[in-house]
Order: sequence, then structure tokens, then C-alpha cells
Amino acid sequence: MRKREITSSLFWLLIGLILTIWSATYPIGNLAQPGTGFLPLGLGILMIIFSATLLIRAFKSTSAEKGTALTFPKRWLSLSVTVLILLAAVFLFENVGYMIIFFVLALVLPVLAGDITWRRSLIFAIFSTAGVYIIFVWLLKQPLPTGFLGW
Amino acid sequence: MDFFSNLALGFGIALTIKNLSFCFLGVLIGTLIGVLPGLGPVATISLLLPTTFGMEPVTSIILLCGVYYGAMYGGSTTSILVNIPGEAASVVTCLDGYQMARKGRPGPALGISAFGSFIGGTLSIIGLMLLSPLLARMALKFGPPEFFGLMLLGLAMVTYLCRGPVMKGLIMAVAGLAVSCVGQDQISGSTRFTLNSITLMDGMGIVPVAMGMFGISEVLTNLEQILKQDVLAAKVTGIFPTLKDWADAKWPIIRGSLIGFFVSILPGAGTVIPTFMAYTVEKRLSKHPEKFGTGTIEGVAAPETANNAAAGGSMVTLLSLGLPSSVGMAILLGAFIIHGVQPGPLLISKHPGLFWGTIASMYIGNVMLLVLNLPLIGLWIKILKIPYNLLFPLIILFCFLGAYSLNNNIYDVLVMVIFGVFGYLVRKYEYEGAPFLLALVLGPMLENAFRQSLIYGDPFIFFNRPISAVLICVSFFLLISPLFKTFSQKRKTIEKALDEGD
Repeated sequence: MRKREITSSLFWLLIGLILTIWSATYPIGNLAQPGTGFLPLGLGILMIIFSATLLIRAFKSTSAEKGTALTFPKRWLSLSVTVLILLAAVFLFENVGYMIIFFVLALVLPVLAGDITWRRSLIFAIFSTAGVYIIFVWLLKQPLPTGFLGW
Repeated sequence: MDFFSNLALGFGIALTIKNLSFCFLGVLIGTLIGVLPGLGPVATISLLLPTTFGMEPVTSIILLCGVYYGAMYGGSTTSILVNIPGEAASVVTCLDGYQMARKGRPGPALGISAFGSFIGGTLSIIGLMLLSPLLARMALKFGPPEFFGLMLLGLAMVTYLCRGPVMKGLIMAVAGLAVSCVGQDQISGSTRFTLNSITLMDGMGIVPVAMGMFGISEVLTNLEQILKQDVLAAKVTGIFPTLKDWADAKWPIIRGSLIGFFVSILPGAGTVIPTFMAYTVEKRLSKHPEKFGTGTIEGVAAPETANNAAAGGSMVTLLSLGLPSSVGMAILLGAFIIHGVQPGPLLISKHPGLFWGTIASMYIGNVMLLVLNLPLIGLWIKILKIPYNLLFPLIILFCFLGAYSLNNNIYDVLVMVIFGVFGYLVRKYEYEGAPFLLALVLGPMLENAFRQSLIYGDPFIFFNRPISAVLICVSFFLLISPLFKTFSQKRKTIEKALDEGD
């Protein structure tokens, strides 16, 4: 609990500092005529104040205080691979095309979610990719990138 | 007379074949996503938004509103049969709904929630219809300081109502406002925090951020644990409540409607808080409060009526003031703006067809939902049996498609994934996403109102005008009130320690 509060408040403190310093590079103006950087600067300062308060509170509190402790996800591997696959899909989407990307996503993601065979996942991938084509491309005429294969 | 002719105009628009079909489609999709855990109305409206680009504004809004209030109906089915809320506003229904189902009474529980939702929904539309024009007329007298005060109150309410320390809610609200500053400054035209990226010059899109924080992060959170799907095997029969059930539920339904409607008008209250309030009020007023949580029909009727009444109530501030009172309304505001319509005091006079057409469609949609829900319960139960390991990839695929289709820009999908991970992490660290998203939506309007107010040259203008002064004072009071609680707790601890020392 305590460690979680310290980590998160340090993160926000850093964000607050970056925001304040960055905002100061824009015209600030004054109260009668606020400039572009006026509001972000104020927000940066508020972020520093709030996160510092949270940090002080976290240091003052004892670890036995109520609240659930931050647990490392048991299925961290599935979780990280899911995020990585999603990022890869984003970067490859326009070059590879929607058909292959959606097929791969629909094939791999159920397996990552757990408790399913590759065979069942393959059937799901075929049907869901066909569904995307029928609903979005054929019926709704959404222009989706076809990639180097032209699909 | 004017009122009835306006309503007739609304029904004339809503009863066209096209609008009726989209209303039906909206409530059907809404019920479906309400039934399915993991995909709430916010992510679904975001997902459907790009598909409405080619539609007329009124048809598009009828569809999206249908999704919103339809989800409130569908959520109860999952709460009652699986003990998992289909969407956030059905959390409380799990308490007594699931217990009723376990006692062999899933039918009356589903039945009373459908009838209660219908009554609450219909009463709230009447309220919306009567109150919105009045509020809009009043709001015409508002200037930038008053709008600034209202938006500040909305943000303060969302922050105040967050779980956990207010400080965390405040941090999320400030972070949301900071992200809203990315892009072009609307007053000077210069750019901020864009890192010389052309994509960022347009600012951070609300829809990809909402899809990330409420769609992708939900999937990531659920990936951590394997949800058990214990759908009650018992056949659902006798969905019509008995006369005794009606006698027990009539007052909770009436009170639930009133609480749901009036509480949800307050900026920031949304649809979740009224359900908790309605449940608590019923428990307090009940002659047998100890039975709550063991399967009482009042415990199902009150929150289910309240969440549907709240769906109508939260539209009052959106339509009459142009201010979203919840995240769902924020996305709906985005839909209005995309279609070139600015909700606010002038909406009713400038777009009477849109306003009255939407109202009329809500009456029709409520009837459709009642007809849809009761006979189709068997179908919803079958849908509930879709394994989560297939459901989650589908949600991701839909979100991917939805985010891309917004502008045919892959950066929107990247923003969605980044905010999905961000949403997952903030949940892990017990921060809430609602203040962040509401601040992101209100940010540009808030900054404009703030800077326009200061153009008068008087920094104290916010306190010189009574309405803005009251709104700002209430906001500050809300934000500092938890401090009083902490002080009084500390004082009690010290007094106790001193007493023990004596």
C-alpha cells in the first residue's frame, strides 16, 4: 500500500515538474491577459502540490494501513505479450493490411486470454476476420488499409 | 400549445422508418453490451461514432442515445444471473438480484428490473422534456464566468465522488486538463506540447482516449484474472412479478425514479451514484433492512429504476447547458460536435427537430426495450455464455477498428493503446479514470471560459457575479470537505489517546 502510494506520487511529481518547466517556455501573460502557457503552468504547479501532498502522506502512513497491496499480475506474461502484439499491430497495420493483422490478432489473443486450443482459436479467427470484412468493408464501406498483399 | 406542437414535431421525426430502425438498433446494441461484461456504453458509443458520420445528426444521436439508455437495461441481466455487473450502473443490483436468482426467483427479479427501468426511464424523459427548455432559457443569461463555475463544479463533483483519497481524483483531473492543452491554443492559435507532430496539433482525440481507458484497460484488467462464468442453470420462468412483488416494489420504483433523475442532473453524478443512493434510501426506509442483500425485490427495483432515470437526467445538463455530467455524456457531446451541432442553451431554438426528435425517440426506445427485454431473456442468457477468451479479443478488434475509422489515422489507434495501458496502470494504483476523461473533455471549454472571463480585466470577476461565486465556493467546499473529516478523525484519535493516558 505504502510503496504503491510512493511510486505513484513520485510519478505524478515528475509529470508535474515536466509540465511546469515545459509550460514556462510558452508566453505566460498575466491575470488580466493570460497567455498560452498560463493554464498549463498553473496545472503543473497544482500537480506538484497534489503529488507532493500524497507523497508526504504516504511517507507518514504505516504499511499496515488499510487498503489492498499492489500485487504483481499472475498472468503478467499474457498481459505484456498482449500489449506488445497490439503495439506491433499498430505499427504494421498500414503496411501489412487489415486482413492479416485482424486474423493474427483474432488467432493469438484468445490463446493469450487462456483456456482455449489453437484449433478453436483458428476457427474463431477465420469467422471474426470474415465478420469484419462483411460488416465494416462490405456493408459499412469503411476504407481499411489493404497493405502490400492488396487484401 | 407550443409544447405539444414541439412534441408532435419530435414524434413526426422519430417515427420515420429510418429513425425507428436506428432507434431499435441502438437499444438492441445497448442491451447487448449491457449484458456483456467488459464493454460498457462509453466504449460502444465511441466505437459506433465513426459509423454514424454519413448519417443525419438526428438519426445518429437517436442511435447513440439508444445505446446509452439500452445499456442500463441490459446491465441488470448479468448482475442478476451471473453476479457480475454488465456495466457500472448495475453493480448494486448484484446484491439482491443474484440472491433472488439463487433462491429460484430470477424471473421476477428480471421482470421487476425491466418494468422499473421502463417506469424510471419514462418519468425521466418527461422530466428532461420539461426541465431542459427552462434551464436552457436560464442559461442564456450565463456568461463565461458562470460557465467556468459550472464546469469547475462538474469536475469537483466527479473528483469528490471518486473512491479513495480526493487528492488522487484531483491529480487525475489535473492530468486530464493538462492533456487537453496539447494542440492548438484556441484563443492565440499557437501550438502547445505538440513535439512538432502534425497529428498532435489537433489535440488528443477524446474518443481514442475513452476507448483506451474504458475498453482496452478493462480487457487488460480482466486478462489478469480468469473470470468465472457461473450463469445460473435454472430456467428463467415467471418473469411477471406477482401482486405482492408490485406492492413491495411500487414505492422503491417511484423513489428510485426521483432520486435517479434529480441526482444525475448534478454535474458529475453520472448514473452510478444515484443507484447507490436509491439502494441506501430504500434500506434506511425499509421495515426490514436486515433482509437487504439476501434477495429482496426492493433492492432490485430501486437501483434498476434509478439507473434508467439517471440516463435521462444526465442528458438535461448536456442538452440545455452543453456540459456533460458524466463520461458517457462527454462522448455523446463529442458526437454532437462531430455532426456540427453544439449542445447548449441555443440547441432547442436552433435545432428543434434534433432536440424533440431525440426526446420522442427515447419514449419509443423505452417501449422497445420493455418489449425486447422480457421475451428475449433466453437469448441474453445464451449470449452470456460466450466464453470471455473469445469476447475479449472481439472487444479489442472492435476498439481497433473504431479508433482507426475515426479519421483513418493509425495514430488514433496508437493513442488508444497507450491510454489503454495508462488506464490499466492507474486502476492498479487505485486512481479513477472518470475525472481524467471528464477533464479532458471540459478542458478546452474551461480554458476558454476562464480566459474570456479575464478579458474583462478584473481577476475577481468570478466572485463578483453571484452565480459563478456560489458555484466556485461549492466546488471548493466539495474538494476541501474530506480534510474536515480527516481533522475530526485525527482529533478523535488524539482525544481517545489522551483519555486512555488519563
